[in-house]
Amino acid sequence: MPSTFFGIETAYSALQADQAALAVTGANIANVNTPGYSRQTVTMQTNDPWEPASAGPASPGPLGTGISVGSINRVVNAFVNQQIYSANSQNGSLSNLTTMANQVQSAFNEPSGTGIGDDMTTFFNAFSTLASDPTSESDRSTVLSAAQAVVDQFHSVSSALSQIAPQVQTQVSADVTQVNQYATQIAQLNGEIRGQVEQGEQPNDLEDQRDELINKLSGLVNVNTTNGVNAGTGQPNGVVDVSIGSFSLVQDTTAASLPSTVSTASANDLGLQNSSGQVVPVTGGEIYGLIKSQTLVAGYQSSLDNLASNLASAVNSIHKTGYGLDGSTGNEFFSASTAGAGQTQVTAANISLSAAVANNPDAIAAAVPITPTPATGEPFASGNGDIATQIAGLATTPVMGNSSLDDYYNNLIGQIGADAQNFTNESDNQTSILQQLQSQQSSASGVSLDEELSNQMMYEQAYQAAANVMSVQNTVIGTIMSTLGSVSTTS
Amino acid sequence: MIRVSSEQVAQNVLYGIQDSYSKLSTAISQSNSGLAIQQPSDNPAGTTKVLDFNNQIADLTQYDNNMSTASGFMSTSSSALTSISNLLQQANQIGLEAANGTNDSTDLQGLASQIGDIITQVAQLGNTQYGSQYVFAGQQTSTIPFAQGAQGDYQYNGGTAASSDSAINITVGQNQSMQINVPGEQAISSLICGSAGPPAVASILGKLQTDIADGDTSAISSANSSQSDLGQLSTAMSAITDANATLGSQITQLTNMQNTNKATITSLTGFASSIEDVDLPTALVSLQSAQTAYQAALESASQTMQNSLLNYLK
Repeated sequence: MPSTFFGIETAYSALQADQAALAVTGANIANVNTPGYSRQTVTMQTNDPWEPASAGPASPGPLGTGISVGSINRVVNAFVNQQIYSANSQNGSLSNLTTMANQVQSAFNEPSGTGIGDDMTTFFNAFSTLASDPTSESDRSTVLSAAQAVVDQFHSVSSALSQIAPQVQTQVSADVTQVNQYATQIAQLNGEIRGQVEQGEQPNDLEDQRDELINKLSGLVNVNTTNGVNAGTGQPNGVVDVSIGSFSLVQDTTAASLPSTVSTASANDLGLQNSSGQVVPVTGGEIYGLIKSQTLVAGYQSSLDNLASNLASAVNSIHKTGYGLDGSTGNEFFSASTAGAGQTQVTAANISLSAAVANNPDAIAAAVPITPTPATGEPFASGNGDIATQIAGLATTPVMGNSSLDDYYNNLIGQIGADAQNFTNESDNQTSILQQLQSQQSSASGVSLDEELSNQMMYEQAYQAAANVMSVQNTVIGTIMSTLGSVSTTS
Repeated sequence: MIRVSSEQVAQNVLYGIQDSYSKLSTAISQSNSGLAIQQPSDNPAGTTKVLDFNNQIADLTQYDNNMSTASGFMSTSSSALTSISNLLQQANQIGLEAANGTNDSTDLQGLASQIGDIITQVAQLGNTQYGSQYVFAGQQTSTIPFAQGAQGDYQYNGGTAASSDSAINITVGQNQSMQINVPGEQAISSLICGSAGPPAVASILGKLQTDIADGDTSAISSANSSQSDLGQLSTAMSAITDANATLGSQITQLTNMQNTNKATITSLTGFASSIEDVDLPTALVSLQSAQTAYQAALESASQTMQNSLLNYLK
């Protein structure tokens, strides 16, 4: 026969369990919009029944002793989480690359009718016009101003390009600092979570925090995660190890420090390099996007430099052989503005008109020398425009391998466009994939208000019913106390 | 049944709105600018083609300008040559009149002085300029080609084939050039410029003038002799007529080439436009459908997101 208060204990266990369930529901509702929060569910379990020592009419079989909260678990889809990390890394690098590619396109400003290509065409056409009348002062001035426009356009595109990825190292260092901070926090959380797991507890919120940190980390750099196991029991110990490729970032409760020096030794092997020269290859995330952007912009810059230098050398080699109206010869047309000691390579940033022709239209060589050289008079005919014609012909002459200057430039623009289109498409795809994955994750882990409200009603009604049971028990005991327990005291 | 969380609905709604809004933005900017390619990434292969077409168009336009300049230059040369032909006709008439043997010495002096006037006029025509360029000076376009020497003789100072500065070539197409000038050395110089020698050779008109003044009728005109003054004059005349005819056919050729060029430019512009520009009806239709999609996304968001179980719990 159970004790008189047996029923009260049972009802009380129900009150406690329902209250706990209401608290979890409340927490879920409170966190409906918290990023990284996984909804928690209460698992109730029936208490062990009370069994009488000996069964008999007064002591029926096992009696239920109520309910208790078995565990409070968070709902996560670990498989989807892994995919999200990977998609996040892709997305981080692609959004960076897309931004870079769009900036590069703005720098070149094609097809607009005002880019380098159009200025080069105007320049060559000015020479073609000069060839028709080499003595015309106005045609000569037009050549100079067209050349100045080409030079200015090279400078402006080059300077715009150089501003796209100027502080990549600074930005990467900032990102690496962030990565190392996350790593330290993850290692710390690993320790706390392992402690609680070993005591049989469910550190749901700490695990959410850690997942959110790994999620942020994956936006910065590509990460892999592995769940740690207890060496003794072979059971999961709650620890998550994080690695970047083969570099172990978080191992148990220790965080390694990711080096921050950008390494672009080979185009296919971008990474970060420590003081002893070892490179951690990076293949995803914002850090990869930054490093890759830098190499791509450097590539475009070098193509542009190549174009400027070939333009200068092609024009110069013809121009040097000709005569200006003032009888000057052997002059270069273009030169490097920062001419220091020795020969300076012409680049897009330093191409300029040579000192000989700048502000001196008559020094522009349009004429070939007369052969044989006349004994008297000028060694050239002022009306000869053959040099000007040859220079004008450079627009369509293959001077860069099999490409003319125009072809080379147009292909460069095509290449930039194709890169930008690639990045934009991939980025759109990744955004859409990430959206899908987040939706799947949210389907499992996200809080549904309707669901929580339903649960709330359910637990509230169960609580009311248990309280009612308690009240009935109270009446029952009251009856015993009032009718049987009233002992008249003798005076 | 797939479980749907509140957050998921919010995410999906936001994604849907952003997606349709970005499509709407693209449609707006395309129909606003009229450009299908606003930056190379919109169509990389198309961009390269458009740039190539634009280069070709610019080149053809330049050739067209060159040809217009050349036409002007050649027309100027041609009309000068025509005038010279007329003057030579006159000289021929004067020569025939002098050769008929009925003139007294006063008449002959008068006729000789007329030839002298013709020499001056031919020299003036030989110094014809197109703009500031002397058209008969070969490449020495800033040098007066026919200047009077100390003895009253004319001398040719322009470019010569011997010094490779006689022909002016201009580019009229890719790797295609055309000589636009008639060098004075060939056509005019023998008429009015003698050579000091040795041996000294008088110019054709100069000799005619001298022979008329001297009344040397056999030197002026002898039957079947191309060595006579009028015979040589006739050879020079036909050379000038030939040069003029060549100029005329070249001018016609240039006009034809310019017409062809213009047609090519028009069709290239059309090709470039078909790649670069949006088809307006299509653009407007996609603008309309993007707008509809955006409105639908907003509408569904406003209707679904307002509802939850809370609306119905009492």
